[in-house]
Amino acid sequence: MVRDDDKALITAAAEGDDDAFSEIVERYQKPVYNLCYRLLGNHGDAEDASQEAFMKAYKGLKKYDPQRPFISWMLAIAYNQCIDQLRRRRITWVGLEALFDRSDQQSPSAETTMDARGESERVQEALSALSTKDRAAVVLRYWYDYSYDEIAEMLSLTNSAVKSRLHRARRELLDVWTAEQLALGEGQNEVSPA
Amino acid sequence: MKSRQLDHWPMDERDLSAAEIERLERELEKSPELQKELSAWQAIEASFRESPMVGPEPGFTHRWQARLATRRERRSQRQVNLLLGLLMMGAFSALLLIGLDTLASPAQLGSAVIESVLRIGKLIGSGARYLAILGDGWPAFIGALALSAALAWVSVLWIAAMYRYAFGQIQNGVG
Repeated sequence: MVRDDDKALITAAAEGDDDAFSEIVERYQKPVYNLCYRLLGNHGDAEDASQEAFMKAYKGLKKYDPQRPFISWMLAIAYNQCIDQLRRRRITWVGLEALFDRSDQQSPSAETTMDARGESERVQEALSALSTKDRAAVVLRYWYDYSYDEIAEMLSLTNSAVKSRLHRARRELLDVWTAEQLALGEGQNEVSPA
Repeated sequence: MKSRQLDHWPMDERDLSAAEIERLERELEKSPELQKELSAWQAIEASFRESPMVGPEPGFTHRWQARLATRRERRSQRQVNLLLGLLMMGAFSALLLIGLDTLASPAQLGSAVIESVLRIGKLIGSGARYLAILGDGWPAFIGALALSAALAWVSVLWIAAMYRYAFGQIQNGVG
């Protein structure tokens, strides 16, 4: 449940104490930001989404149920904020693609050699192959160690839907990972002397 | 999606019972393909677990506080704009009434103003009577009192909003 000192902070913040809510922001910024970063894939959007998530939590603090862990409530808000942001981004992308033909352009990541990229970037790229809900389920399971029931509550899914999403996500990740390993092996063969 | 040996397993040890783990181990001994897939998945899982939680740039809380202050400023600005808009609409309506009366007889501007003020007074009186009827026989003065209190409250709000508006302008270095 909620830690006692958190409870006091939440009560004070709900009564209008801004300093108390600032302390909550200080405590929970990292897990909230991490979820946003894993879902959105870049720091600029993650910063904006996590800031907005705290803003929504601040406005809706009176609706918070103290029986529920505060972090789960906060992560559910952050997840919904990311979904909204992705929806808006998709609309923007469609607009931009209509203006510019991007088919002959190479993305910077394609120019980067695989072995030059960090492990964290590889993880992020593998995650980006998944749908947003599947990605959220994977992140909540492997970074936050949440149970299926907790993930189901946060993502507004049933327990069995979470299980099937995770199963599908793992299969897709395995495909992406294996393909990358193969490409990495081929790349190394090409540069090695005959 | 191609079918795999591992598809029949949950790929997460936490989901398996002791009996299932034993069965998986037996399968692994028999199938090198399953072994390969499982070790690939374990490598992915290890990468996830080793990949640290990403935190924001320092000063996140200060940026949040600044964002909150900006939102509040914008909200009060919107309230002021709304009040100013309502005031302008009221003033325009009063001027229209006076203007229409003056057009009929331009020489009687003074009486047109007095007449408009009386008309507004009558309107307030009608409102008070209506409130008294709604109040099921309440004395009319209670209705009038309620209406006066409401008008006084709106005036106080308006004055406060004007004060905040002017003060805000000075603080922002605009005015």
